[in-house]
Amino acid sequence: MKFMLGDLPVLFPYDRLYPEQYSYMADLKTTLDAGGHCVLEMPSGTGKTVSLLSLIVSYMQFYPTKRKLIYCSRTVPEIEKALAELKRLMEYRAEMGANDGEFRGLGLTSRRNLCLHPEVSKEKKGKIVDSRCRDLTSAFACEKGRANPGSVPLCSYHEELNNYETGNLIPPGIYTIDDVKKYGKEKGVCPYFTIRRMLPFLDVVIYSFHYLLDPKVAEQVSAEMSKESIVVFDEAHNIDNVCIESLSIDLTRPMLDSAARSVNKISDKIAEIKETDSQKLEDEYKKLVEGLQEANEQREDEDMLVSPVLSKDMLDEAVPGNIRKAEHFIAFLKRFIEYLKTRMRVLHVVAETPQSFLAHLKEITYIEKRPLKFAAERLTSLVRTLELTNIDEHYSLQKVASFGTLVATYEKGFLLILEPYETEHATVPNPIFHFTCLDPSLAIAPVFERFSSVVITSGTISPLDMYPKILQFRPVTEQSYPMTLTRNAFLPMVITRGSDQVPISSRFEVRNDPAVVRNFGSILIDMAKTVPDGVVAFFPSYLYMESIVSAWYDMGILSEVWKHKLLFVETPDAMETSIALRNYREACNNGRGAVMLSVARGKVSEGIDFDHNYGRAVIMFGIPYQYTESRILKARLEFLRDNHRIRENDYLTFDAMRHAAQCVGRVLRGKTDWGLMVFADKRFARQDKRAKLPKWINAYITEAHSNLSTDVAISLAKKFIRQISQPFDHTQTGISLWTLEDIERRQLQDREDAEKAELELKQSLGKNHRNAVEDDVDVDVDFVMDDYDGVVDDEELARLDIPDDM
Amino acid sequence: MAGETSKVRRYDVDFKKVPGTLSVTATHIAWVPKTQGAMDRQNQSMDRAINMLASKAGSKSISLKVLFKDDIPLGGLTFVFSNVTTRENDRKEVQDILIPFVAANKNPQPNTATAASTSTATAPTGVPSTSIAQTVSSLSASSKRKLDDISSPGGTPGTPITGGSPATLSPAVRAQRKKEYKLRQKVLEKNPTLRMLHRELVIGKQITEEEFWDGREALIQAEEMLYSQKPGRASRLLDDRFDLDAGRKGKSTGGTGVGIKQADQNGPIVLKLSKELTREIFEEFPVVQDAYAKYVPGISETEFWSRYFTSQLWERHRASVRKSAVDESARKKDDIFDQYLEEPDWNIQPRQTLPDDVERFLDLAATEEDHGEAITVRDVTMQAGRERSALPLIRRFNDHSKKLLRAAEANRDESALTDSLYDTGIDLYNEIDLEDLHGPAQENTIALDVQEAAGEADKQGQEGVVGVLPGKSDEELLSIATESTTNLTHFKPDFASVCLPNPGFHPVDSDGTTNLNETNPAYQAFAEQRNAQAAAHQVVKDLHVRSNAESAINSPFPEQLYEQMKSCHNAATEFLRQYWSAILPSQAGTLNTNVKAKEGKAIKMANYLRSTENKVKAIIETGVILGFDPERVKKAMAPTVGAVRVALEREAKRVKKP
Repeated sequence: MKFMLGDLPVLFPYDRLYPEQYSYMADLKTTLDAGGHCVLEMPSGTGKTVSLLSLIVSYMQFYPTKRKLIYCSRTVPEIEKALAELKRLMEYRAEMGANDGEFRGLGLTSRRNLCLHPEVSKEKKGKIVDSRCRDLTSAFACEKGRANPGSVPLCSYHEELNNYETGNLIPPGIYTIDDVKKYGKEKGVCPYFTIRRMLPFLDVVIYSFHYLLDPKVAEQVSAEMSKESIVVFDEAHNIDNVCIESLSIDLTRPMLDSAARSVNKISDKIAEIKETDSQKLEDEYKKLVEGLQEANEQREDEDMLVSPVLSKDMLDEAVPGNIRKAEHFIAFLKRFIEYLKTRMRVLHVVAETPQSFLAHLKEITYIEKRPLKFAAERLTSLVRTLELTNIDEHYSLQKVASFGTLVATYEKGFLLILEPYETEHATVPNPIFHFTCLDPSLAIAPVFERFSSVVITSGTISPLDMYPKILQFRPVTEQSYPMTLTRNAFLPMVITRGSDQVPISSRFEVRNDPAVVRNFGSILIDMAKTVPDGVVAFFPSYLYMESIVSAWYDMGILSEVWKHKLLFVETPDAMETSIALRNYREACNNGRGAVMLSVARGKVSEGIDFDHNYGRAVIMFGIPYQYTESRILKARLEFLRDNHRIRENDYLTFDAMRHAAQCVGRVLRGKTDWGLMVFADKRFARQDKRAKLPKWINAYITEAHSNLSTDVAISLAKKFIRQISQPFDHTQTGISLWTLEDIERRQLQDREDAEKAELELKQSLGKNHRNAVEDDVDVDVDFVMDDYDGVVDDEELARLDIPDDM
Repeated sequence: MAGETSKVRRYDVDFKKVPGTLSVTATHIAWVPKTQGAMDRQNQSMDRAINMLASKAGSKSISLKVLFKDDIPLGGLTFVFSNVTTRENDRKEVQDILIPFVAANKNPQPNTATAASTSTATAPTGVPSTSIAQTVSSLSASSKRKLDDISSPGGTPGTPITGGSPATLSPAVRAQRKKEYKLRQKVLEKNPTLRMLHRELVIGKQITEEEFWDGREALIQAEEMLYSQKPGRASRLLDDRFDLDAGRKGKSTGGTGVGIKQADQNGPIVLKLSKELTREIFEEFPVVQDAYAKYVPGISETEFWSRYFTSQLWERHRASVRKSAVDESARKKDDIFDQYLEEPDWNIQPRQTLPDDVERFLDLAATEEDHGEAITVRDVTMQAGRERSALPLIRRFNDHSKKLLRAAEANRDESALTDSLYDTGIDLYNEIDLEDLHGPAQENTIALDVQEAAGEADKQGQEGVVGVLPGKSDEELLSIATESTTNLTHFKPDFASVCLPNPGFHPVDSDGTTNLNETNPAYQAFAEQRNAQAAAHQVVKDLHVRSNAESAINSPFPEQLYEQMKSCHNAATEFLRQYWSAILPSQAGTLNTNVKAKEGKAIKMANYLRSTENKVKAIIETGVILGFDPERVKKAMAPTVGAVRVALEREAKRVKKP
């Protein structure tokens, strides 16, 4: 359908529209017009992506500024779906006669997912694919290979690209990842480099968060994106964790050993080069005097060798003298690795700030902060000068260098934690040195600064004020949309106790209690018995799932489940799990029915939909709290408390609830779909827990359904399934489904309301107009202060120099 | 006899003592008298032959009696072979030609065994032939009804196949028909009402089998789906069933193998292994099959299995965490099975090789490799695969589920499935589609065949109301309006005319009686009203009594009458169903022949319907004879009669139209 939003004609690829989609698009347009950021929560399964894309594409195409769209999503399946959504939208627009001309949209993912090279593509690990690809496509390899064909193996797919005109490597249109691969196969060109080189020419680019947030990738990939671009973070409920991860780094003992080996190898190589081609090293030295950034001019093939710090924190100055010479730098690295190894011998937990670490480092090894800052880039330059191949061997060394650079660059919002044992009860040390970022706003700050409109959206982003707080930005619009339903399409139930009235909970103290395990099991059995087709169950952690599966098997609970449905379980291996998922879907399709056991925050919980028959019920066993014993988490909680005044418990519950909501939200797509949502934990009954669920779910949890025992819940479920399976006319419009007329009626009403409000305002103003002007002069000071109090910036308060003894 | 090489074979045969020639072609058997006009020619399609009877060996005449479907011609045809020298061979040849047809018609499954046995029997005595005749006839006895049902309706010879050559009727088609017959029978068995209707109409030869089932395909289909389901493999894990506790009370039990393992009181453990079970073990654990193939001729089967079940391999196969540690020491070393022992599949990477690619929208590995390796370590609870002992179990679950899934669709290979899902982009659209956002699809309607539709439309146009009061001029309307207004403004309530005046106060006389002035008009009005109310009350009461009487439970219909009514009603309903479905406009693109067939059916059904009224009359008469209130019968049958009348009126119009 085509409808007008103000002066903007919007082409929407369906005949009908959900009211939430309308409001969502309207708010989105307001945000884009105002040129600001926004946080929008839209119920799962109500067509968020399609609304987003159709509004933004209409917006881009209608206004002459021709802004770009950078659409970030979480997982490859979601990226692929977003691309398909866009492709269909563009097909629809063409059908409706929109002239989109040379409109191009592509999705970027790693080489591992795109490679066509007959041997390289066989590799399973992305790291190795990257490294082998580099050997075949790097500038020096190409140079040699082209000058003297056959001397160096090159990738024919990469070479073939040179026959195409820059900016026109692929015909206009939208390509999903599979489409690009197919195209590449047909034409014999490399899909990865096609996309990489087309990035500046694309109208829409879809990729994962990391390509914009992680400095290791973003610098290479997203640096050239125009500032006018509209940035969308879809499924952004986990964005703070992505931000934190992208500036954190963990080192282990084997990694240090491997790094030490790399250093030795490189040192041998330097000695060799010195004898054969010492000029090279001389040249490098000269370049380094000029400054690092010149030395490392951006090259697309080198994206595995980039600085781990944000570009604004990068130094554009001469490299310190003591690491300019290759041998000196190697010695420097050796010392640094030795130091880290010594630190890891400590058998108690250490938490320290970067400053204290650096001070200690200097004391022991005389390594200064400044050269350490350059470690990562200096290594890059060296690797390039030596023309090293198989750089995946030196991966650990790279990590160590990045670690050094990060430690030396950042002070505030970071913490170093050394954990000698994996768990409290472990006896064999397996030390991990965490350099952890505590402040997610650091990684995302450049994005907010650079791009004028950043949209943060998800199905579960409640409470809305949390994100602006922890990401440190001011949104123009913050909105959560309720779900309009003509019939209750989903039934959320909170089961707090088993049929034997024993309370159930995944609380650490009771989770392995046989009564709790059995009661969890009987919920699964009864659900498998009651619900048709697919049932998905989520556990709070892998550890718990793996132990409970064995326990259930030994208790004979799974034998009961087998009677009703097939059973699939998420495994550590991603591909194995994908196969299990495929079989699960097949079983749901052929009527056999199946149960899928997986983990909240795990691989399956993000990006895989269990809509329609693939998920008629979703069971959340326990509350997916994070592992509270984790020191990193503790440090983070402390940071949140000190800097944002967020209480530990509030954050933990917020975090658990967003993941729980994310899991249960996977079962809905569209309003004809239906499903049961079972929250099995007595703690869900508490109002403070439920209040943190998204409004659209919480609104449908009635008081009566918030404290059930298993048997009552099952009988409710039976009733619900019987009711929902009755024939229902889904074509009735007006309430949860709008036609074009409904939209126009709404717009008319909005306009009238606005006029009325304006009129009233004018009338009231008109009466006291003169008074108002006079009043303006001596405003009631208290009143203004009252109003202001709520928005006083914490930082400003901090800056106020209040005497300590006050 | 002549023309052995040609397809037509001729024999000298007497028919009803008239000499003639019997010619047998691939499809027909025909007899022509030698003298013109001496006797009618006989010509029958062979696929109608359902039985043949040969004269006994050694009897005077060598004859062959062929019976046909539906007993037409009556009593079949009896041919006497007259060529003295070759008659026995002649008869054998004819029999050989006819046998496949007879066998096929009797029993749609190609009865090769019988055919083979006859062809090998070479004795010219005719004994084998008779034996065939006997088997054939014994078959016919059991399947006579079946043949009636399958055979084309109403005795029209070979309806579905008359057009083509019947001999080419493929075994597949025959099998199909047999299956359909079976299904129909099952449907009837399940549905007593339908069975009664079937008995009345089809077996009562009112309508044909085909007609009866026409429009009831859904029933057959449902039955077929039910019928085609086969029990699959038990989904319970195999080793789970070997649990000693399986049979014990209070334990969750299930699966097919409960009680396989039983322990006598302190005695040895007894295992009951069925063939099915060993097959399942082989399927579940291919290494056992491997071992079996290698060693079993060497050692006895019993020994093999007892060793297996006490081996460490078996313990490993059970994949459970429980007990194994305890039992470990008790296990003996076993030179056969220990070599199959391998490290449990408990590493992060599964041992089994996995395909390279799955559908992108399920591809979890792609996400892991989407942006380089994660450089942070997840906390200890979120590291998948830490509980190593659980992994083999989890893998077995997935594997077992997969096997069960594949067992159900053994003929579909996995590669085909992946291809279909992977190559087409349409599937991905399917994944993102919100179906309720599509507008309602164009409905597939059949245009209503309104008679004189044009006239109706015109009428409607005229009736269309225009203006406030159609047919009045503006002035008139205005005057009406002003009149009403003045009426309203000058409205004065006149309560006396609508309300009885109070009879007023009556002074009491000295003797104490009220002085009721009979002549007082107010009192008179009051009295009138009182009387009227009393009368109305009486009427209401009367009505009430009558209505009660009406809804009172009547005496039931006599059984005989009721049966008749039911049968009449059932038949009429079925005829109506047939009739209406016959005159339903055909879907565009159907064959012309089909249309004609429908036309014929409509007329036939209309004829049947016409007889309904007489039937009802007859029933009423029966009612009178039985001394039952004929009115009640009439009333009970009224809806049926009404429906039939509507159909007949419709039919009359329809026939008149062209």
